[in-house]
Amino acid sequence: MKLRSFSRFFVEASQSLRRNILMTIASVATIALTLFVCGVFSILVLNINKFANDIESTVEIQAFLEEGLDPGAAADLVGEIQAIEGVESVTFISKEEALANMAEQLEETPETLLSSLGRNPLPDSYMVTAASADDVAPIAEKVEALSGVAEAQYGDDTVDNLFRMLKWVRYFGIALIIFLIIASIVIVAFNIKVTVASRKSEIIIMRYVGASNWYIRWPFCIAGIVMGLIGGAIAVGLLYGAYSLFFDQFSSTLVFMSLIRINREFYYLFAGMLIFGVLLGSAGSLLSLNVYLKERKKKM
Amino acid sequence: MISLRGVSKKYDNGQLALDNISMEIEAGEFVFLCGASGAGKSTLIRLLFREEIATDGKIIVNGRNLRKIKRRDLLRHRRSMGLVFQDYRLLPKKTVFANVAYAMEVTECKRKDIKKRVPEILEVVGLADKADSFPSELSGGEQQRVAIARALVNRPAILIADEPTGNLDPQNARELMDVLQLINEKGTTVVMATHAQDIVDEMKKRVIMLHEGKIVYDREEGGYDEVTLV
Repeated sequence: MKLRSFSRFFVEASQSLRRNILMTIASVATIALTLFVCGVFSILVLNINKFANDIESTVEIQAFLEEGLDPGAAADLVGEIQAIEGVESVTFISKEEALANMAEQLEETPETLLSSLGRNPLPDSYMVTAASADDVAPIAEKVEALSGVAEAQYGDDTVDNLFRMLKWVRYFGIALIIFLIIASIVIVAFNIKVTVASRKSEIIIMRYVGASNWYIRWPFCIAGIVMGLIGGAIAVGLLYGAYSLFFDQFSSTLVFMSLIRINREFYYLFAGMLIFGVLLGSAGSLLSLNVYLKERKKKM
Repeated sequence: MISLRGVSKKYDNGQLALDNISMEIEAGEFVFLCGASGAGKSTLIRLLFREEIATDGKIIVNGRNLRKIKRRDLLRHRRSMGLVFQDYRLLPKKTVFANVAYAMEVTECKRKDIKKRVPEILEVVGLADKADSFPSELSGGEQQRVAIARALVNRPAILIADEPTGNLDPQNARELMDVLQLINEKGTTVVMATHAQDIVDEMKKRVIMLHEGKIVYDREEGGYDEVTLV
């Protein structure tokens, strides 16, 4: 294919996109929606992964003491816990402090919390910090075995739950995305088919005078690529805007998890969305045209 | 130049469009393919253009076996033929010049060559003064001459015309035949499918008469006999 033919292809592509403007808008919107949903799920997965990693990398174990344990025995426990290999620090948190912390998280005063609960249900506890995240599980096990300790908790249950949730988010996301991919290819294919039909006589003449199949295909392929790029750009713009807004609104209020800032990973995601858009657009156009060129062969 | 040996074409619906036909057409010949509708003329043209493949037999055009032709050669093969149809098939929004130039553009000729070649071929078909007209401003005969110019602009070795006078009045038809005659004299092989008896009789060229997919007769300086012979 000669280079000078491409300027002609671009002119023809832009003409056909403008001639079927409604179909073009529908195709671009479907591609944008598909890519936006892909983007949302990707960001969701990235955030949940990060959250799980954050939890996994915490080195804190909370050892709840048995109800009514006498203060002497409780004080002795400090030494026993510190003697466990890998423990870095041990801090006592009284049940009053625990209540105060909880009240702060819930933006209440300890008094109102206490009056609504009737009594303080929280036990005294020790906050045990491990030197490394790898030591957390064995330390928790040993702490829990000590007499006077009712339970030692760290992030493992939460992490398990998160990964289970992540799995379902992924399944659901993949199913939705497959559906949307098919929908966008079908709509782009239909769009190109309408364009091809409106230029039927021209295509037949092109074949008669010896145009190669690729010469016939390129303008339609370019139209598909342009729709993919526009759809991709819209999706990236929307996702960037929506996530920035979400981040500003919620990064400070979501106390239990920290959101990922827009970073390099996001730019890879955005680039991927654009490339994916181009693939969707060109796949749709080639699909419809191939069918059409074959049909023409038979009917000419 | 064109050689058919025992060629048959059976369509998927069971219809036998061509039944074991053989013929040789030499370079520079002018040949009428005659016969009523459904005789197999259009099928033969489709086989020659390699839009379809024969069910049986061998077709060789310009030394290329059309059954075994490779994709790259297929394009060359098609470019070695100019096609003209009864309904002209011009692009209504393009001028005469642009319609003819279009055939060179899609085969990626240089702009300089297009500017030089299109007026030349319009001169040959007698439309040099209509270059800026649109098809709707031309008579049927003139439109068909534009179609011929478009078919010839890339200098094909063979011109295939499928009922080119079918939509024309006798005067325009005669003028068109003069153009085809001229083109043939300049060296292009012309194969014309028609059932216009008066034209065939007048031209005194070779006639291959088809009936129900078979060659009924093949005569030099033939003339058109109705298929009373069968």
